[in-house]
Amino acid sequence: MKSIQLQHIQKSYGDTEVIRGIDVTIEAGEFFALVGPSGCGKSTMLRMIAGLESITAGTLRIDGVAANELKPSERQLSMVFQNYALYPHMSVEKNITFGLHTKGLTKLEQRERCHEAAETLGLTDYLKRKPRELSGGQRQRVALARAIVTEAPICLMDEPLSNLDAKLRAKMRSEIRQLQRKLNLTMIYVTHDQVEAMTMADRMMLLNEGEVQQIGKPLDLYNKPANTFVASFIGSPPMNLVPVKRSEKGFVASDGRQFQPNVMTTVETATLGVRPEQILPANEDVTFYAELKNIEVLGTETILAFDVGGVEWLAKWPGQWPLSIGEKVACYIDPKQMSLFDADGERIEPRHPKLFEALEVFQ
Amino acid sequence: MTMRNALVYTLLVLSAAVMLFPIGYAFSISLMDGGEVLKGNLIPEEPSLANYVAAFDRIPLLTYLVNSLVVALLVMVGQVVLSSLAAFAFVFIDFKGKALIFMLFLATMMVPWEATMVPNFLTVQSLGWLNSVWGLSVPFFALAFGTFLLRQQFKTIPHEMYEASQIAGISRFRFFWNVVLPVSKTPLVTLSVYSFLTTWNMYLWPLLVTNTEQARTVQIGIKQMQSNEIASDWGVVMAAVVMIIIPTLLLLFAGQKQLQEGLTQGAIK
Ligand SMILES: Nc1ncnc2c1ncn2[C@@H]1O[C@H](COP(=O)(O)OP(=O)(O)O)[C@@H](O)[C@H]1O
Ligand SMILES: [Mg+2]
Repeated sequence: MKSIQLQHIQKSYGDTEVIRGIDVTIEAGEFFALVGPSGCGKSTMLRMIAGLESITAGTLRIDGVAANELKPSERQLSMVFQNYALYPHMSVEKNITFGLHTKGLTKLEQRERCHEAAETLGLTDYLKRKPRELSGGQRQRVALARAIVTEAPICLMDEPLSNLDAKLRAKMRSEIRQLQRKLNLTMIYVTHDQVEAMTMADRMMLLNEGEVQQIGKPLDLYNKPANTFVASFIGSPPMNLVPVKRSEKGFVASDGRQFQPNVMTTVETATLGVRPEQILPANEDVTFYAELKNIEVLGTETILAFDVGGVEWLAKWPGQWPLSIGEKVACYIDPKQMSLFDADGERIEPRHPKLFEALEVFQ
Repeated sequence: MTMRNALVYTLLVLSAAVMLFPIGYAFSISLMDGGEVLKGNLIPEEPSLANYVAAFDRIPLLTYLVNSLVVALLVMVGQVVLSSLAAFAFVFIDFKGKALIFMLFLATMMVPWEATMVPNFLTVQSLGWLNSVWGLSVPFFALAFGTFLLRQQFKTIPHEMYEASQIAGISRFRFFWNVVLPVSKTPLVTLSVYSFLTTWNMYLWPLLVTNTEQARTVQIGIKQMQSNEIASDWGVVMAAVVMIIIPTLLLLFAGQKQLQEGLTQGAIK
């Protein structure tokens, strides 16, 4: 098990800055997901850790030792590529063992390790086949086998599931997670799919345009997004956002809807955010009325679409609601569940819940 | 559709016949005796191999054939080895001025070979390589066209394959040998056939750097026959010509099979 430390890592291609100073420590044995939209620099980050790309500035430490200048093969890591990068003319067995000689293993030891890895991944029957005689899922497994056969303590994966269909993806997700636990790997997993990151990672880092947006446990990012970018990237459907202005009793959207988030702040303009599942059917208290623009009744939940201050919001109600388009429904949002972001999009921390209750009593 | 096909095939057959006629006629003449040739027969009345025996008897055809074979094989190996190594460097290794050097490389393709003949001759002469296989082969080892051809092929190899091998600690040469070359069989065969045939058919350079019968190649040998008394004996000349076409045809057929295999393999994948 090895930890990985990034100290103000930067990367530029010529004049264009692609990574703008990243500081993070990935603990030994941790499943760390690197998420962000396409082109934000995830692959570049991973390739710098792997040693396939030079580091423009900053220090990379592997188990405390500076590793900027180490060759890829000296970093004790394995890597799974998005397109698997299997050698097309070699059998599965050869693909898995090619390179093991550099570890000083005899032919016999290589075969033993290969069979062990193949067994772990259910490839025993396919060892003699060529990659082109395998399905996409099996090729993926060969790529995984090739990574684990080296017994490297660190494993890097760059969007390894993006070429698989949805069903297989869900299956491989849990398999990779189990494999990581079983082998106690320090895993850095790159994906643009926030669901993958949320379901697999111990901790995750959200990148945008080469800058860290937030690092934390998946639920921290979900519940307390550090800014509007995180709020709109994490969750499906993502957090509803609307620009608001200060009013006497709280904040007001351009259509006059009032919100009273549990935040003490002096800002004049802000962005208000609410998760779709926090917009509930109102019982007594009504936050606002919504005129339905669209409605999707799914088996276990109903998705309602309506307009708030010129922005389309989605609400997710549990159960099946036989409502129709154009209907007006009363919605309730717990003020404690509203997030507020300042003019720069940064999260404004809510008041402490206890303090909030005390103030309510006082009023 | 079938009408079209019929037309296309008719045209193809006609073109093939026109193309093949000289070879067929040469083969036909090589089986005739002198009188028959002068009568203008297309098909020999009494085919005989006497001309072939005469060809080997009267000129050192075997020496020429061996010389040509050795030179063509040397050039082929030299060009394939150097071109593939250069192409590998251009595709997989990062170094300063790569684009510029590659441009220079390509620029040499614009220089006609004849323009460099004099300096090359002087170099070969000062190395004492006149009348040797080295003088005939070494000046052709560096081939910009081959480098270009293989570079285009190597560029289609996913870079991730190279990176995966780097992470596994596989040396560059092993990657080149065990991955790059095996997946590039088709263009390697193409280049080999091209190299062999070009060298086999080379005329001007061997004429310059050889002047003994021991060192001459087949093309020179054939030409020499015209200045000898044998020239009037067309049957013998054609027998020699047929003999030197055979390796060419063999190589083409062998190469073609390889090429087709390579192509269909790509199609199925
Ligand atoms: N070799 C390169 N030269 C110039 N720009 C590059 C190079 N590689 C990547 N980039 C740029 O860096 C940014 C990040 O790329 P990448 O790390 O591949 O993104 P991601 O993997 O998150 O989709 C992109 O804008 C891309 O255009
Ligand atoms: Mg990427």
